[in-house]
This record gives sequence, structure tokens and C-alpha cells, in this order.
Amino acid sequence: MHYKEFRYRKLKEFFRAVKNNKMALFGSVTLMFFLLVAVFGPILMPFSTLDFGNVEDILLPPSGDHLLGTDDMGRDILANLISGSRISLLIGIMATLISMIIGCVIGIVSGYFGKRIDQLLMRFTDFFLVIPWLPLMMVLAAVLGTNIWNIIFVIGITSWAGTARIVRAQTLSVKERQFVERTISLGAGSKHIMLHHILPNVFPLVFANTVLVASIAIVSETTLSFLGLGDPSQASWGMMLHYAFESGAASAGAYWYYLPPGFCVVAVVLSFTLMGYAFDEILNPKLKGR
Amino acid sequence: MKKRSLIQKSIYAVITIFAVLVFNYLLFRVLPGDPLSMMMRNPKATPEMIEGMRQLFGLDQPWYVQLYLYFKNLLAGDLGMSFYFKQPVSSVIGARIMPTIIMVGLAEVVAIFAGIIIGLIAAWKRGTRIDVATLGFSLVTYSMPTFWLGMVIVVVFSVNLHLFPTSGILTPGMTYQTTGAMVADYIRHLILPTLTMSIVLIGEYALTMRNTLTDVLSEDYITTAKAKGFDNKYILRKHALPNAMLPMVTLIAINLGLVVGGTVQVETVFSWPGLGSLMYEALRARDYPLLQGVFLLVTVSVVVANFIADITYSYIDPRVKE
Amino acid sequence: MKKNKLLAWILALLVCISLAGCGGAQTTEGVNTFRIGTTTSIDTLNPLSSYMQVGFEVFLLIYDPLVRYDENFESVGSLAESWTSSEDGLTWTFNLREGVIWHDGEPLTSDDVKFTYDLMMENGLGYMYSSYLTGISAIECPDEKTVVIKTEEPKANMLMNTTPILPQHIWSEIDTEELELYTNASPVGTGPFKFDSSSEGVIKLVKNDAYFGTVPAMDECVFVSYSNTDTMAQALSLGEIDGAFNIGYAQKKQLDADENVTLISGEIPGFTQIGVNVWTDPASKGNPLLKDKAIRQAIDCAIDKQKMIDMVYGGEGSVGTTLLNPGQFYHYEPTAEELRSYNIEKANARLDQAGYMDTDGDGIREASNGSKLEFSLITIADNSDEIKAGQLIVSDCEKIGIGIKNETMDDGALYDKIISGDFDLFIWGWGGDIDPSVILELLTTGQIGANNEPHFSNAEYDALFLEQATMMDEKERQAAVFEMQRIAYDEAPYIILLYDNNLQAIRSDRWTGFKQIPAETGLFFLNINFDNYINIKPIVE
Repeated sequence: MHYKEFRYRKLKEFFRAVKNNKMALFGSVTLMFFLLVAVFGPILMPFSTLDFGNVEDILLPPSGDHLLGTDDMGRDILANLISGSRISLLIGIMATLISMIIGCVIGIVSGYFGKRIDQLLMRFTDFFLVIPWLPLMMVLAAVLGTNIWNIIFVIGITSWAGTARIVRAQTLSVKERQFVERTISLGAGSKHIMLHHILPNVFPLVFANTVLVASIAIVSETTLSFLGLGDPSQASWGMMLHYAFESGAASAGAYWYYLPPGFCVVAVVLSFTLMGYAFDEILNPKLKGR
Repeated sequence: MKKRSLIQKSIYAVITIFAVLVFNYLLFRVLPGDPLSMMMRNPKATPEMIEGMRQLFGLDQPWYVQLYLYFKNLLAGDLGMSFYFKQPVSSVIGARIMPTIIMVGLAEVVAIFAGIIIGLIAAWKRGTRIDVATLGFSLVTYSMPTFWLGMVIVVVFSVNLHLFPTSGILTPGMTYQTTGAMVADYIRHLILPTLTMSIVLIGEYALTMRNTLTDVLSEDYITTAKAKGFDNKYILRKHALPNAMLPMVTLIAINLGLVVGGTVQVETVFSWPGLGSLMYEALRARDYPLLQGVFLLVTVSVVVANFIADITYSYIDPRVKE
Repeated sequence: MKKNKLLAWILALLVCISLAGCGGAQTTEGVNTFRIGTTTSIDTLNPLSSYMQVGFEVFLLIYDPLVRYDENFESVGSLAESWTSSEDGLTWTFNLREGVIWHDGEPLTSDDVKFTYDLMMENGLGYMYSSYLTGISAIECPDEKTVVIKTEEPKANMLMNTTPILPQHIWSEIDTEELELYTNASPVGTGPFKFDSSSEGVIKLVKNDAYFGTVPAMDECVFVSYSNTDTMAQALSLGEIDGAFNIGYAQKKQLDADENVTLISGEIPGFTQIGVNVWTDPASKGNPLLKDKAIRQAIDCAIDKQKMIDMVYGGEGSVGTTLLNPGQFYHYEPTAEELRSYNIEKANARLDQAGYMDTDGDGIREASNGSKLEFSLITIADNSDEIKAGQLIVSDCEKIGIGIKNETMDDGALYDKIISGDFDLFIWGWGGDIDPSVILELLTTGQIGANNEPHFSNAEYDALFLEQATMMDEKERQAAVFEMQRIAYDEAPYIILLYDNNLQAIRSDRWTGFKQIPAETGLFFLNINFDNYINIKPIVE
């Protein structure tokens, strides 16, 4: 019984109760919007707006020229948000990928082989489940240095434990099914069974979980950046908030600087979360009830 | 089953703590930079002086001796000397524990209280707008970076409304005429960080409360009680609430890991001199022993809390069997 | 219902507390406390190992040196009442003031002076003061109130020696090995303020009624450290503090508009620079291309420093050129020919002429051996001004075909990289002094592996450094110092970006009697003169 599973189960029940369709729709539309912006944004936005402005361009409130105003270096906030979306989403998705791979490998191996290996791997997983994630990430990010790939790695390596647990449970149940047992009796190798029989059956569940991990990854990136552990050459939403905080935008009343990146983070994380639960509902009807 | 399971779980917890200790040790050996150069900003230090410092901190020993010394000292409660504060780590940490306990403790109390009430209302009015709003609130606060929430709260309550101070724990340099005045000042500083921390937790608690209550309310004995014509409020208070409290208690313990992350952010935003901000300062100053000390304390507390929650849950709730 | 009552109580309590706060912080009746905000916290109260700016300020108030600077930065007696020097300038005799007592009641004697200097010189301690003592060969104490200092060569900066004198009866108790880590938890000095307490980034000093000079008008002086400039500015606006230094440039507008606050911007000795790895030793891990001064000069020329000052530093500060500040007597101003002002064409031409061309058309120039002009620029993670400056430099250098990659790390990690020569470029700053030796010494060969960050070595520069330190004639010394700055400017191991200004403020609705030192251009605090701490007094209504 661990925190993430606990929360997960409770939320899921709730969803069923309040008819999740509308929310899932909201989540997927919002997420699609941000993905489109990230992919096509650079084509749509005026290309020069990411350059530094001049003194008179600093912290301008929203206007016709700058729909969301400018930051403390005279850059257009909207343009920054759009280019930030690419970095934040990239970090979120890449970190999730790493987390998913580690989680799947450990979960399947653990569930398939069982016994000692299972014991060992599950201890290892528990270890990562209980260690408070933020301090661990802070320390790791400091060890590795602040560049975007290290941040992706750090987030990935600290957030796979929940996935591994879920995958293991699913592997255990798939392993008992007849067709797998038959394949084993036919003398197929472990690697073959794990790759061709177990993985495809575990995957739907992993997918739903992955979407949830992505939301955690994006919040993590934002938080690390805020704490000064972000990549200074990549203007993610987290870095924007970091600079806004450092430059005192909040008390200077420059709401157009510190609010939009925060809203974007909330919107994206929220949509990931909503979609994750929705996927889970759709893809795993078997898991209904306890 | 129970006894065996308890022993097994205890062993696991001990193994995890041991792993945390070793991991902790290894992690801090690979941090970049030489701790000595951080400690001695003295360009004219002679090689003898540097050697003296190395010996003083045991940095001249091979790694396995250092590891042995680390465990030996740990058992004696000695966490080493803080490079930056030039004091024993235990006393640096000791000075920072209370503010965190007070702030987090109060935030937990507020969040639990508010969470129960909100969850109760939502469960009672299941499917209504209030119910949906509870879910929405919970999801949004969950999606929100904690530090950002803190920033927004500072802007609203300090910068614009001038209701509370922006940061710190007491007004600096203040001489208080009465203890009451000091307490009032302390509370004024305490409110915003506590508020931020509570908001982060409320959604979680409300949701759990609501779900468990919904479950409980559909149980047979509640239906029976209703059929017997008992008053709704009476049923809630006497039957539903006590049963729903169990998962809440567990959640609070399990949640501790999340709370730690939130504490680092909230304390940094509000310059609240607790363990969270200490951890951040130690990281910036590359104060290994201090960082190690805080990290250790935090991780072990979380492991222990999880263990207790796990045990409690499996003991009290007969449905959980593993 | 019970629940509602509880809720009402909580609400009432909240309202009370917030109302109680609206009155602002008032100090105890009859005691006036001046609270100063700073952005750096003190690392240690031990003057032998402290290196933080605020430490310097606190020691200025607790301890006395032999001589101090007055408001025009001329040397005046402090613990020394008078002094004479011998014909050859090799022997100095200082006569100590009568009746000076330490804060713990012990009398001050000449032995304390000898003890302090010997302690620092023998152990190489006292980072902030050690350069004042170079050249001293012997110290004698013929009687309790006389100190005789002997030097091998004439010592030009003898009267600029503001090393704080420590009490022998306390410091002689400490083992030599433990000196550096000694906490000095309750410092005892002779200065105008006595140490009271220190906790959680707050240091409290109280006035010393037995001070031999003017006793401060304020009763208490409290230093408060803030973790960011924004909160500090808020605290000043809300009246939680009475003054502040190191105010962030982003908060300038807000405080300027606050009628209760007097905000000034004054020149602070020192500069912010790009350090370039010019180490010729094979152990250097920097990009070898940077050993060519053509590239260093081209970068210097390509950076729009004025724009950087305007954008990042709120327009506060002046464009950097040579090692010493423009306002100073010893500052060398490059001739029109030498001057490298912002000019992209000139920078490009310089690189063309040196044979660096973009042969593959990717926008980055290459050397004849094909290696690209790509360098990493390290900035300190928690210095957002310097990070922003770094971003501007990246976009400036792009225009002359030099690729710069920004990197951040904490100052400790950067310090290690610098010491081991494992960097290309970095941004950091130096604080200067009245005595030019402090800054000039940085680029001497002897400081390689210590303060000579670029690992610069130039025989002529080294020789001039030793000579100037012995020149008692100001004009003569100035000429030598000019030549040193000319060499350093031409070689460009440091690309000096700007001479920083420091924003400082005082709540002028509550306090009076302060002034900028020196008048018009100077600062309230952090200027090696303590007049404001003595003279500031509360406005009595």
C-alpha cells in the first residue's frame, strides 16, 4: 500500500461517480491544443520576438504589440510561452519515457521470475517509492549539473517506481493465463515470452500510468527550475517562473509575467491527469471494483 | 499471519533504512567539487594547513574507512561538522526543526479539518455541483506547482493587501515588550506559509474523505440504520465518520513524502527558517555533511512513517491482506 | 452549532492578528534600533576566515584598526593617535590612544596590535585583510602604547592598513590549527558597537557607551539577511527594516516611488568581469584558442556593455575598461586608440585579420586547424543578474561568429573549476579597495592557483606590481599603476563588463543624519567608513 496507488485508486472511483467523459474530453482537447502549439508554434509566432528587447521594452503590460506583455529582458511573453511549451513538453515526455522503460523492465522481470528476483527488485522499488522525490531530485540534479538531458534523466530515474509496481501486478495475472502457460510448456524462452506475450498485455495499463507520470514529470521540472536547478539555456515554463521570481515580477505587479507560465503548467498537468484516469477507465475495464 | 507479516515488514523497513544510509553516503561522495576548497577560502593556506583540515574531517582516509567512520558516528548520533556553519550538523538541524514542525503541523491540522468538512459535504451531496467543485479543486491544487501558489499568495496577501509579512519568522530586530506580542508576531508570519501548505493538502484529504464516506454510506449497516429511521446527522457522526477516519490517518502518514517536497518550496518562498529551507541552503553551499544530515533525517522519517501507516492499516482494516 | 462557533473564533483571531500587524513593527520604548537588510548572510564571526561582505561591515563596527578612513577617504587615526615614519620610510612608529578598553573591560595594549598582525601573517589567515600586511618585516612594542613597524622596502599603503585589531587575551587561547574554524561566537573588540547576539541570519549589535570616539546615536544596530532582493525591498517598504544595501535593480522603480524611502545609487569599488582562461600550462583544460588575445579583444569589442547595464543592471553602473574604478585617482583611462568600445564591425575585422573564418558556413568561425570558436561561459546559479548578462553575451557573440554556451553552477563548484584551470569563460565580480594593490595583485603570477582566476602571467606586470608597492610618491606610483592597467587591458585576461553601482536605501521618514560618502557619488554603507552608523539618529515626533 503506497501513496501513489492509494491516491490513484481513490481518484479513479471518484471519476466513475461523476461521469468522467466531460473531463476526459476537456483533458484531451487542452492537451492537444498545447501539443499543436508546441509543434506549430514557431511557425505561427513572429520569429523576432524571442530576441532581447531594449530598455524601453522591459516589463511592458499586455498590449496590441505584445498580447501578454514583455518580461524583464524585453522579450515577448507569448512567444516565450510558446517556445517554453516545447521544452516543458519535451522534458515531460522524455522523462516519462525513461520512467516507463525502467518501470516496465523491472515490473515484468520481477513479476515473471518471482521469488528472490522479485523480492530484491521490489525492495529496490520500495526504496524509490518511499524516498521523498523532491530532495532526491535536488541532490541528483546538483550532482549531475544543470542541463536539459540531466534533468530529464533525473526525473525519469526517480519516478518509475509506481509504474514498476503496477506492471508487476499485471504481469502476475497475465502469467497465470492459459496462453502464456501453453507457450511456456512449448518451450519458449523467457525473453520471448516477456517481450511477445506479457508486454503487449501489460501495455494498456502502462500507457494509462504513463500519462499520469508525465504530469508528475512536468511539475517536477517546473519545481527544479524554480529552485535554480534548471537549464539556463532552455527557457522552459519553469525557467520563466524562476526568472519571474528572481526579478521580483510578483511584487512589481507584473502579473502578466508570473501568471501565464503557471496557468500553462496547471493546464497541461491537469489535462495529463484527467486523460490518465480516463484511459485507465477505457482500457482496463477489468480493473473495475476491487 | 499477522505476527509473521509484522516481522517481515519490520525487516523490510530496516533494510530500506540501511539502503537509505548507504545510498546517502555514496551520493554525497560523488557531488562535484572539493569540499575543502569550499571550507577554506584562503588562498594563502599552506599545504600543512590543508592537510590538517583533511585529517580533521577524515577526508584523508580511504573510502571504506570513511564509510565505517560514517556508520560509527551515525550510531553515536554524530552527523559531523557543517562546513558552512562551522558547527555540528546536529545542532544546526536542531535549531531548524521546530519551525518546520510548527508550520507543517499546523498546516496538517488545518488541512485535515477542512478536508474532512469539505469531503463530508461532497459525499453527502454526491453528484451535485458541490461534489464536482470538490473534485475540481482537488485536481487543480494537485496540478499546481507549490512554489507558484506561494508566490501568488504573497502577491495577494502581502503585496496588495498588506495583511501579512512577506517572509521570515519574526520581525527582524524587534524587541518585544511582552511574550504575547512576540507570539502574535510569530503567528502573523506563520499564516501565509501555513495557508499555502494547507491548500496543497486539502484537496487530497477532501477527496479521500469523500470517497471513503461514499463507500461507507453504501454499506449494509448504514442502510439498516437508515431503515431504522435514525437521523442522518446521527448516522454520519456515529457510524460513517469513525469508519472513514481510518484511511485518512493512513493517508496522512503516507503523504509525508509529498509534504517534504512541499515544505522545501514553501519555506524557500517564504524564507521560513525550517528544515526545507535549510536543505536548500545546504545544497547551494555544497555543505555535504549538513545536506546529508537533513536528507537522512527526512528520508528516515518518511520510511518510518510509511512503515507505521502500513502496519496500522493492515492491523485495523481486516480487508487488507498481503 | 458548535462547528460554526469554532469557525467564528478562528476568523476573529485571524482578523485580530492581521490588524495587529498593520501598525507595523515598533521598537521598544526608549530604545532605538536601526535595522539594515542585506542579501548575504554572515558566514562566520571570525575575521580570520570570513569572506562575506556583510562580515566586513560587522567587523568594521566591532573592531578598530590603527587608522581609519574619513569621509573623504583620507587616513585618520583610530587606535593610533599619531604616527611618524623614519627618513628612509622603513620604520613606522604608531602611538596608541590612551585609555582604550576592550568590550570585556581589559585595556588595549601595543601587544594586541603585534599579536594580531603576527597571527595573520604567520598563519596566512584573514582573507580580507592579509594584503594590507604584505611587506611588514618586524613589529616591536617598546612600551604598552607604542607600536614600531619595520619594513624591508618602503610600504606605500602603510596608512591604508585597516586590519582590525583583535584582543590577544582571547585569541591567544586558541590552538593554531583551530584558528580558522574558531566560531568567535561572541566577538570582543574596541569599536563603537558591541556584539549582542546572532541567530537565524540576524546579527544584533548595541552601542558601546565607553567608545573613545563619538558614541553612536542609535542604541542598537541589527543586520538582517534576506534570501532574495525582492522580499528585502518589500520589507523596506513595509517598514520591517530601516535601511538596506545590495538592493536589486528590479526593485529600483518601486523604491524610487516610495516617498518614505531615500534610495541612492553609489559607485562601489570593484567590477563584474568575464574571466578568460589564458593559462599556458599544459594542465589547463580551457579552450586553447582563448590564449590568442585577438579573440579576447574581439569578444570585448562585441559586447554591448551599455545595453547590458541598462537591461540587466537597471542602468546603474558604468561601462568597464581597466582594473581600477573610474572615480579613483589611480584609474587609467585607455586612449582613444586603445579603447575597445562596442563595435561589431571592428570585432569582426579583428577576427578576420587574425585568420579566423567561417569556412563551413554554419555561422561559427574556425581556426586554421579547423577547431571552432565555441566556448562555454559559466555563471553562478543564484546570481540572476549575471545569468542575464550571460544571455546577452551569447547573443552579442553570435554576431561575430563566436558560439557561446551558457552553463550555471554554484559558486563553490565554479571556484574549483577556476583553481584547476578547467573552464573557458566565466562571469564573476571583485570588490575593490582604496588601495590599488588589492585589485592589482589579482593578476600577478604569484596568485596563480589562488586569486589569479585567468591564470595570467606577465613578467613586466609582476615587476611593476612589486615596484609600485614601495613608491612613496603618489605621482610616481600612479604612473606605474597606469602602466599595469594598460598591460592588463591590452592582454584582456579579464574582460571587465561594468563597474557596479550599489543601490542602498534608508527610511528617511524615521531616520535622519545620514549622508553619502563621499558626497554625491558615494554610498551609505559598505564603504569602509562608519560615519553613517555613528550619526544616523531617529526622527523624534
